[in-house]
Amino acid sequence: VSHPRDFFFLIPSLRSHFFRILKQIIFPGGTISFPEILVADALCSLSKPFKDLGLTMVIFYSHVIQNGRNPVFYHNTGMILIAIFASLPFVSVISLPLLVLTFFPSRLRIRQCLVQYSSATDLSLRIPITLNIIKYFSSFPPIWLAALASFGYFHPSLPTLTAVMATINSVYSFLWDIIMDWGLLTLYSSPLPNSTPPSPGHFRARTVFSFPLHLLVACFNLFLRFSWAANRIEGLSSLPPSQLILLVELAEVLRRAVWNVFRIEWEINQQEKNAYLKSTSKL
Amino acid sequence: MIRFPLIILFYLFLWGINLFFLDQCHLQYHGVLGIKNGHQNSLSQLIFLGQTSFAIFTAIFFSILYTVHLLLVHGIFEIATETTLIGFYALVFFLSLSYFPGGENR
Repeated sequence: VSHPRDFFFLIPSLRSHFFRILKQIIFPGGTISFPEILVADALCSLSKPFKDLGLTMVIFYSHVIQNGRNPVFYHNTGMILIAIFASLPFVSVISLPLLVLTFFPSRLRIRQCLVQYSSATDLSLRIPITLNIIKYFSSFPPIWLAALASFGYFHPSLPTLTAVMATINSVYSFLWDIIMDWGLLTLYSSPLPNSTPPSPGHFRARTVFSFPLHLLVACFNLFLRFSWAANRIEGLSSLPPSQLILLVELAEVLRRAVWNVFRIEWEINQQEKNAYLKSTSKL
Repeated sequence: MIRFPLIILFYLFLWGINLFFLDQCHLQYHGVLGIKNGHQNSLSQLIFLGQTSFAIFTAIFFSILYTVHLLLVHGIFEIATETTLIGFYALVFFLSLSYFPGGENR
């Protein structure tokens, strides 16, 4: 240990790798790598905690900088600005500080998709990217509707409409998870030979995790995709709001952690398959 | 208000567990994540030298930092929670400065 920082961060290459990915997410290049997608997706799962971070700053600003002025005013103004700027097609410099707090992760992910879209020449590649962009956009309406309700706007059909939009987003995201991100529907339809561990000329079949485990994890994912409805569950509705929000945020992070394992496993599979197909096409 | 650091630290711990799990499944994740393979053959090597340790040690470090900071600034000096948290974020930012790309050359 030559420096105090090396005591805590044992692998220098890893830490610089992480910050390099963060930089590439904010300032993307011409192509998007898998680690960038993984980190951006993780940031999307952390969008609610980011909102908490924003709230802390708003209260700090109103209490300390503005000497005790009403924090609700600053909070509501901030949220309105976020809602307005998030709906704009491009991220402006003015909106950047606010977007960082809530919508920024989703916007980063959408921008990654747009970069992928522009570099894709084939229609078969562009269609899934477009569907992915729609998925991220589908997460905005429930947030806008919930924001409307929090600003005091009331309409008898608003709660139902919010629930419908959130359900559409949850089901869409769940289907995307199991079909595209985990490749579960192509799980047992591979025409290519199985080989575990990988050997030259063969790509590894998806035998790392069993079918019952896949099924269990898919159910777990679906259940947690509906975590926004936690306040409608009898046992949880009696909890104080702050504890309920913490529980929902922890559940989302847990869902993302489980998602990571299967996403990485599928990516390994895809890359091995591509390498195999490339090697056979050369023969 | 204190949820943000808690969630981030929880995610960091889970990421460490993720990597540990991937190692146990003998999945060659290093290539797709673009990180170096540590050639971890035993559990002790995995814990003390691997990528898992990086995530877990970082999480432990920031957990301790967060707890000490909260106890010291908020508990003892009785400074408001939001001010304490802003101080914590500033501390993390300054500690992280040397880890940004290029910082390792300084």
